[in-house]
Amino acid sequence: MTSIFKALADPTRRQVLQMLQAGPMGAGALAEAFEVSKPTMSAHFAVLVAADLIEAEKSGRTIVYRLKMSVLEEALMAFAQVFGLQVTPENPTLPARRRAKEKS
Amino acid sequence: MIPKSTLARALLGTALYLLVALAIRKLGPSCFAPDTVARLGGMWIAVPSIVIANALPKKKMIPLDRLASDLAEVQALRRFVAWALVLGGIGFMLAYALAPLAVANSMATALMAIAVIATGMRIVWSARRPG
Repeated sequence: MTSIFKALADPTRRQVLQMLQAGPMGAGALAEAFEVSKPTMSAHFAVLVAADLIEAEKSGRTIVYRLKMSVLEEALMAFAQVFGLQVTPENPTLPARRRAKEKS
Repeated sequence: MIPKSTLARALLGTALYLLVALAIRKLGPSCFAPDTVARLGGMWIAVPSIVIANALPKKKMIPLDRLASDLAEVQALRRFVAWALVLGGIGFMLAYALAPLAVANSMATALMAIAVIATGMRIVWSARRPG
């Protein structure tokens, strides 16, 4: 349950989940929608897969992500979205010191 | 403690469900007022619908998947069915919890019937959809 809350606490990850509600999408197409680096996006995908909210499927040379959310998880996401919940750092792949440097 | 096999887990869940239902029926009257026992019994009926439908989008392969070839449509169908049955179940539960007991059963059944009919209509629409 902690992993689910951790995954839903980040707005980028919630946006990924919202995009996947329309149907399965490739990793590249998803990454293009965000102004973040590929490693950052990969880290976001990894968190979502670890929380069992999405499923990765290899299709040729690309990875296709499919939504795997229960009704309760979707309701939790909607709740987090409405209240603008954000408890994780904006860039999960960067160490804390580098993040502080980037901000200043 | 929780068995790893899916079948064993399903059997354990069913046994627990029936045990609680039996406890409400047999032990309830000695602990609660007759109205409360009737309400608890009614509310307990909705639990399988809510639990099973909630997990529906997470299941690997279900018969619904054969109704559409498009992956996006399969996902949309799964989500609709899951939401409809969970909301129907919650409606059923709330009807038994809050409505006057004289009409609770009819109200709960009507709410669940709406969810089931909506599910059926969505399945038919999805199966008839070209592509």
